[in-house]
Amino acid sequence: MSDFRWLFDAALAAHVRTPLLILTIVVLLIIAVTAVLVAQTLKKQRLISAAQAQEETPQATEDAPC
Amino acid sequence: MERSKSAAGLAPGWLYFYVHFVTEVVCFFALGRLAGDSAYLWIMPLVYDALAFVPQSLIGAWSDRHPRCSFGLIGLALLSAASLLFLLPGKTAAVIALIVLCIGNACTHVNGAEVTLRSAAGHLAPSAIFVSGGSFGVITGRLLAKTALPIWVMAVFALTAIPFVLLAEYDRRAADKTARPCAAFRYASEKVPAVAVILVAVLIVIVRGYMGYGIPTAWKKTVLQTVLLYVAMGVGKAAGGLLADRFGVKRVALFSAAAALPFLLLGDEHMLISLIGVMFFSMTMSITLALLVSVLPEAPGLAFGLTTIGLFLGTAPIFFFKFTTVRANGIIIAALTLLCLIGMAIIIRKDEKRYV
Repeated sequence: MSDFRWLFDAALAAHVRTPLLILTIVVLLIIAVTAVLVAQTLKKQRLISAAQAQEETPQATEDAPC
Repeated sequence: MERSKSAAGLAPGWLYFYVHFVTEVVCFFALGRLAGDSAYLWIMPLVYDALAFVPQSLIGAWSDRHPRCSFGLIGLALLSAASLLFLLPGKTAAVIALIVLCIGNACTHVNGAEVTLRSAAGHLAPSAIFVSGGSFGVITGRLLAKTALPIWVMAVFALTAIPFVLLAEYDRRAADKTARPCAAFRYASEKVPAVAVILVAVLIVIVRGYMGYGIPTAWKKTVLQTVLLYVAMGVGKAAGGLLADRFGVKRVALFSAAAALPFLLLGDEHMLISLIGVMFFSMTMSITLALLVSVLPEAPGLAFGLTTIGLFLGTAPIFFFKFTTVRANGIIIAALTLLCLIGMAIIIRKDEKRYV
C-alpha cells in the first residue's frame, strides 16, 4: 500500500542521519518558540481589548439618557 | 466607491506577485541544479522546506514588532548572495548557499504577507494574488534549471524585484498610519476560542500541504502538462481571494473544498477535470491565512508564519513515505477533505458583507 522505501533509506544512510537530527531539533525549537509568541500575542490582544472596553464604558454611561 | 477602493488595494498584491515569482524562480533554479547531485538528491529539498518555511514565524514576529525593517530588501539581497555562493566549489559552500537562500526566501515571503495584509483593509484578494505568484515561479525556476543558463544570472534576476518592494513599501507605510491595519479581518467565528481557530486553521494547512503532493495526476506526462498544473494552482490561489471578497469567505471556502473532491478523484487520467479540481483545491489558501490574521490582527507576520509551518508539517511526510495506489490515495484525499470541510464550517463566521 504505502512506500516506506525512502524512510528506510534515510535511516540506513549514515551521511544524512546527523543533518536530519539537527534539522529536526531546529524545527522543533522554532515551533516551540512560535507557540510562546502566539500565546504572548493573544494575551496582549486580550489586554488591548479589555482596555478599549474599559475606555468605552464611561462614555456609554455619559451618553445614556437619565 | 467600494469597487475603486478595492481595485486600488490590489496594487501591493500585484507588486508582490512579481517579488514572489522572482523569489521562487531563484530558489527552484538553485534546487534544480542541486538535485542533479546524487548526494543531495532528496535531503536538499527537505532542508530547503524546513529552513525556508519554518523560520517565517520568527521572522514574521520580528517584522510585526519592527515595521521599519524591510525584510523584502534583505530577502532579495540574500537571494542574490546565495546565487553567487553556489558558484563556489565544495559541499560546505553549497550548504551555506542553501541556508542563505532559505533565509532570503523566508524574508521576502514574510514582507509580502505584511504588506498585502496590512494594506488590504480586510480584503483577501491582495494576499491571494501575492501567494499565487509562487506557483508560476516554481515551474519557471524548475524549467530554467534544465537549461544551460549560468546561476549568476539568478543573482541579477533577484535584484530586478527591488523597485517592486520599494513601491509596495509605500502602501505598507500608509496602512501603518492607521491604529490597527489588520482589524478589518474578522472572518473567524466569535463562538470559537482563538486558540482553537489557530489549531484548526493550521491543521487545514497541514492537510492541504499533504494533499498537494498526493493529488492523482497520471495524466501529467509532458512539460506543457506540468506547466498547466502549476498555472491552475496559481490561478486557483488568486481566484480564491477574489471570489471570497465578492461572495463571502465561508461560501467560497466550503464550496471550493467540496467541489474539488470529485474533480480530483476522477481526474487521475483526465487533465481538464484534474485541473478544475486543482483550481478549486488551491482556493482555500488565502482563506486560512485570513482566518489566522482574524485571531492575530496585531501580528500578521506571525500569522503568516503559522501557515508556512503548517505547510512544512504537511509536506515533510512526503519525503519519507507515499501512498502508491490510486485507491488508497483517493480514500486519504476524501477523508482529509471531509476533515477540512468540518473544520472550516466550525471556525469561519457566517458571511455578512459583500464588496460587490
